[in-house]
Amino acid sequence: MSVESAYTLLFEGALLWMGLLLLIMLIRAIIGPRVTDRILAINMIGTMVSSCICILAVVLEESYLIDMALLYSMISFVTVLILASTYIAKTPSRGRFASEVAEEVGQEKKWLKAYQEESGKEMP
Amino acid sequence: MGEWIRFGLIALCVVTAMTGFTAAVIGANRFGFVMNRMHAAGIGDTLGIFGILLALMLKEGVGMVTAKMAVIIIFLWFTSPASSHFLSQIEYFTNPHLFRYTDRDLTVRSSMPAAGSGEGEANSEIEAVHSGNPGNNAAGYSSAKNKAPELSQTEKNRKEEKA
Repeated sequence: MSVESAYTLLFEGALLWMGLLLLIMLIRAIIGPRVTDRILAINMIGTMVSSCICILAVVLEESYLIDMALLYSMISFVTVLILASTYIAKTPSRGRFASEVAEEVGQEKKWLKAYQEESGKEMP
Repeated sequence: MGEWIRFGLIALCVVTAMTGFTAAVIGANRFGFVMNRMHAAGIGDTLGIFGILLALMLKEGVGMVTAKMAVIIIFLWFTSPASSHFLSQIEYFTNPHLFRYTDRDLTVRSSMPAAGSGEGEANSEIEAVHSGNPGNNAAGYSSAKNKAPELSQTEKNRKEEKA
């Protein structure tokens, strides 16, 4: 067994194992209960795919694939950044602690209900 | 023989990286809350990518390809904490039940009674509700069912205080 075939075996085994891990992370991205779990899973998939591209660049001896791996990781980072700014801008709490806002809203509803029961009037 | 020693080093790096990725995936699937999953994902972003790219750099030798791989490592090591920070910002600003997953209260509330102002009973009650029940914290991580009754209990306490 020559060294070259040993290298090929090693890198192909690594690629196969990472394909399995990518499938598991895809399942996590689908069943993640909140949006942050999905973004996290997609971020991890991006990291693993960029390392897969690096392995392929060495195995196939195509050096331009390294540039694509760098671009892939950059785009993965920009995805997280833009999704974060979009979600924070679209949230009703808008930069405040979300549980505090939820409690305030619940309190206002309770006060409104008590006022209506006492006076029998609609709140303006 | 020297080639085989180099192959052994590269195989060690690849195995380390695969261990890191596997730990990241297991952690991301076994932890119950996104702040814990973030911790697991950091392992894959640092140890995994470092091991793989170090192995490939050892295989390639000195050259342009090695320099580009080093750039990828540096870029990912800088951006992984930043993306974790943005993810935790999303979680902090959008999850109304966040304080149930923590041991401590995360904010200073103006409506909360000051410490040592009497009414120790009400104070401790509120603290118990806001600290997410440290006694059965493990249940709080996984079950989403008992969230609504706890919140209404909090509101009741607040209303009694106001009245």
